[in-house]
Amino acid sequence: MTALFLAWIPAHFLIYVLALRRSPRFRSEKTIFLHHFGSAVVFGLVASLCAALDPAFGVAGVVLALSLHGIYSLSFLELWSLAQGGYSLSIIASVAQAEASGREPDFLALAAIGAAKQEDRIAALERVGLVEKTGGRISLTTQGGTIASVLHALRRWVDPGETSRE
Amino acid sequence: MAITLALAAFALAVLLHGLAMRVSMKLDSVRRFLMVGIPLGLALTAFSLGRFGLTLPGFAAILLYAMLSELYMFCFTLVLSSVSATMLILLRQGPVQASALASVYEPREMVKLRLDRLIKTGFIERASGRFCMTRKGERLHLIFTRLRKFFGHVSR
Repeated sequence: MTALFLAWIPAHFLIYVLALRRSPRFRSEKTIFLHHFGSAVVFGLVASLCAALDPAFGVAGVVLALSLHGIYSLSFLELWSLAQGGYSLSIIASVAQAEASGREPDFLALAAIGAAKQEDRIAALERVGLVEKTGGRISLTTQGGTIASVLHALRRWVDPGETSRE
Repeated sequence: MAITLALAAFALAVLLHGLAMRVSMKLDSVRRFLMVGIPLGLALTAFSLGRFGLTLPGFAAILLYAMLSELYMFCFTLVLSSVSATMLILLRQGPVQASALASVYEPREMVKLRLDRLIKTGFIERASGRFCMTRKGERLHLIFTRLRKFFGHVSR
């Protein structure tokens, strides 16, 4: 039974490599996220069914299966997202291009990418219901407030210097 | 038992990471986590394999710890560097004008901040007043150029 779960992940990856990655739909964040999230949900349900039918598989089997999928999906999505639009990587690419052509990097173009990114992000946060615009002012929705509090707590935990500057 | 052990090891890693972030040392947040997370992971692996052998609970504990650690690293790097996360945190202080929110994160400052970080982490260096790639930077650029092609992203 464990072999089924071990085979699922390479199969999921191979399907992406051989069939899906050339599709324009799979270049959108939402589709690629749903591709992994959907797989994890099905994977979890199948693992739970196996645990119910086979006590030897049990909770440990479900945890093992979901952890395996979690490691795979997190790694894949992080790489996918960084390759798509990592800002630091765009800066490195710009320095590489400038070096090859013997010119200075175009920092104005990089700043323009940053400005476009901010507008994209505000629009994306509004689309997913975390912020709302009322009369030109932006505020957090209830859901956004909860997430912002969690993010703030995590930032205080990992960056205490930032907290003291607030 | 094995799962509880993995959860406890992860909680300890997060606690020690928080403490490591409050100590002055020349390591970034990810390396500080690895500094505490790897030894704890190795200890958990040795204990799990010793106690449970090559069994499902033993491997489940190791993989659960690895997955939680990766998730934690993803979350805290997101919180430290993501534009969206920073905007959400800023908005906790109350509603702001759309233009004011955009100007809080001044694009040229964003470039400068990241350039400084890239120099500090050894991906870019300044030589004779010019920015140039280090070997480490070149390797990273090559890897991500290949990944961009692999994932079918349009290169900028």
